[in-house]
Parts: sequence; C-alpha cells; structure tokens
Amino acid sequence: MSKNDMIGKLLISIPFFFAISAIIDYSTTVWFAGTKENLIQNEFSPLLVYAVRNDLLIPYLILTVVFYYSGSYIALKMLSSDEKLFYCASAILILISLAHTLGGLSWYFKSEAYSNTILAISAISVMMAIFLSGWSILQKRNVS
Amino acid sequence: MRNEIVGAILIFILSLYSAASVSWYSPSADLPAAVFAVFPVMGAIGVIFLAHKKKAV
Repeated sequence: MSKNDMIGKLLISIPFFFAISAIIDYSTTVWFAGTKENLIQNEFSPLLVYAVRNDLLIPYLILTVVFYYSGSYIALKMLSSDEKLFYCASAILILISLAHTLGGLSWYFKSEAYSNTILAISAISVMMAIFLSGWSILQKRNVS
Repeated sequence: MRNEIVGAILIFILSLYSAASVSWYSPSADLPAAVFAVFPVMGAIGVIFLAHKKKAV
C-alpha cells in the first residue's frame, strides 16, 4: 500500500471513528447514569450538563458529531500535504476518540484511577495540539 | 504552508472543545485543576524548545 493510499484511508476512517466515539460516550453515559438528576450531579463535562439541564441532548449530540466529523476531515485534508503533521494530527484525534470512548465507560466503573486517566488523556491531547500548532507555525517561518 | 497552519489550529480547537465535552464520572476523580493546566504548559515549553533548537526565535 502506497503512502497516498494510506493517507486517503486514514482521511476517511479517523473522522468516522472520532464522530462515532462521541456517540458511544454520550449513549453509555446516559445509559449508566440512569436518571437525569444523577447525570447532572456527577457529570464532569460542562457542555453535556448544560445540554441535559435544558433538554437539548439530541441537538447537542447531532451538532457535536457533525462538528467532529467535518472539523477533523477538513483539518486532516489541510495537513495531508505534510506527512509528519498529518500523522501527528491523526494521533491527537485517535487520543481524543479514546478519551471519549473510555469516558463513557467511567460511569460503569466509577473508579478514581480510571477517571483520572480520562482527565490525563484529555490534557495530553491538548498539549499535543499546542505543540502541533507551534510546530506548523515554526515550519512556515523557516520556509519563508 | 498556510493550509497546514489552519489545519493545526483547527486540530487545537477540536482538542479544546473535546476537553470540555468528554463525558466522565467526576466525583471519583481527585486531581486538582492545576494538574490539568500542567499539560498545556508543557506543550508550550515544547514549542519554545523547538524554536530555540531551530534558531527561529
């Protein structure tokens, strides 16, 4: 398989997995939380708590999934000309997807170490994204 | 090269949005908020280190 084929397949599969991970996260959260009150009381995500409190869960979920798929696809498409940046961005998106998938299951495990791991994965993805932005800007400065 | 910068910034926005939208059971997590701030600071330090290494600053 050539590198272009590989990038082409990742360009479709990563945004798809990213969007699906949000659906898994929210559906398992709602399933295991049981009641609306329990979810509002014990949920970390301020956006999800706001959506549940105002009965906006379905529109919020649809908007998030559309934003995730389109945003990640456009970003990866823009980065596809630079192989290093593309793979780094792919790693960030996979890490966020992992945080989403594992995050929903935290309502099942309800473990301190498990919840801290989700927090750490989320923070590491932000760290990597800051690094990626800085790296791309530095590359531009070096080219021009 | 402009496309790459826009793409990287879009990834950054996605990661920030996901940090606020990832759903997890919070009462069992006991990490203070300061720990959460350490990782972005480490990312910024990494960029500064890279800039010095490439003599771009």
